[in-house]
Amino acid sequence: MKRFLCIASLCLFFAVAPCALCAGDDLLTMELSARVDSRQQTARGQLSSAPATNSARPMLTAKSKAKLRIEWSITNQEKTGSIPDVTIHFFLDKPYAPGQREVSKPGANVVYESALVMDLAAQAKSAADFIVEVPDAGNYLLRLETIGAAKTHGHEHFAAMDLKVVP
Amino acid sequence: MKRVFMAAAMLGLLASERPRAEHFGITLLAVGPDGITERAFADQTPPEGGLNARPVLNARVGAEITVQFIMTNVYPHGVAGNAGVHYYVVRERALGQKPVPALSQQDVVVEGHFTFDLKPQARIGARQRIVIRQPGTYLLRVESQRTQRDHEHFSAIDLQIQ
Repeated sequence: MKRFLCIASLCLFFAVAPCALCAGDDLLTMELSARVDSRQQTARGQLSSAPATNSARPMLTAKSKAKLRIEWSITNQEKTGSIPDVTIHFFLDKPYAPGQREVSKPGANVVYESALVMDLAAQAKSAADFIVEVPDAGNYLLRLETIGAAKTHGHEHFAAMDLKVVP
Repeated sequence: MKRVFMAAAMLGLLASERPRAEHFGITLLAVGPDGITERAFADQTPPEGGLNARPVLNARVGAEITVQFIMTNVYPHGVAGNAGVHYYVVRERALGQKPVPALSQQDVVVEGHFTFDLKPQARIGARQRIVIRQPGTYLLRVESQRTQRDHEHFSAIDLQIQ
């Protein structure tokens, strides 16, 4: 009986441990925030490989032609491990149904897109802040993502939010 | 003794005239709604306003302009921690003016900053659609910051909005 309990608890540990490591202990952290007038939304990083959840993306509502301030940061909190040759990609694009899960590449008429190709050294932080004019009415997606981190880090990260633009 | 002074003066002159190494490759584009495109490449400061004349893109008030830049760190040595890239569109007094205008809230159309550790061959790029709603002359400029060198690089285009 004692042996059975030991084996069962070991099995339980191995079943739960990877999820716990994925969710809470990943040392690559990411934050995306957007502010317009007095309203602000923040999205935190998730693993691209994590199963889709039912929780909705944060949504910010803005009026067309207002000034939208966007900030993002990504920090490698590892004490020693570097993530080489990672691309930090951000875009603001449409059309998107609010909460739509499938993500396509930004089109030629993307509102805003940026990319940094760099090494994320241990304890290094990269950040950006910029202003864009809120585009025409519609539903848009703001998405920050890593590309190429999986080679050494094992998986990619992203943070995303919806932008609903009213006339 | 006179010859020694002359040789020292010549060496000093050569040292001051020595071309400075390029650290950044920059390609900056401004594309008007009719597809007319202006391009600018890396310049450096000092001197104020750089060495090259700026191209001018003409566009109408309210027209959509796409701006895009790609910067590549071509300096092969070391990593500059906490380096930056700054870009903006700001109203200016006159086409080709050398001083960079103050980035006051009422004159800035768009602005952005990136902060990162700059390694050899690092690349930074952005593309943005902008609309300028007031006629006038504007400066589109992207510049390196905190690269731990003796000068910074930039690229710039004037926008004439009528």
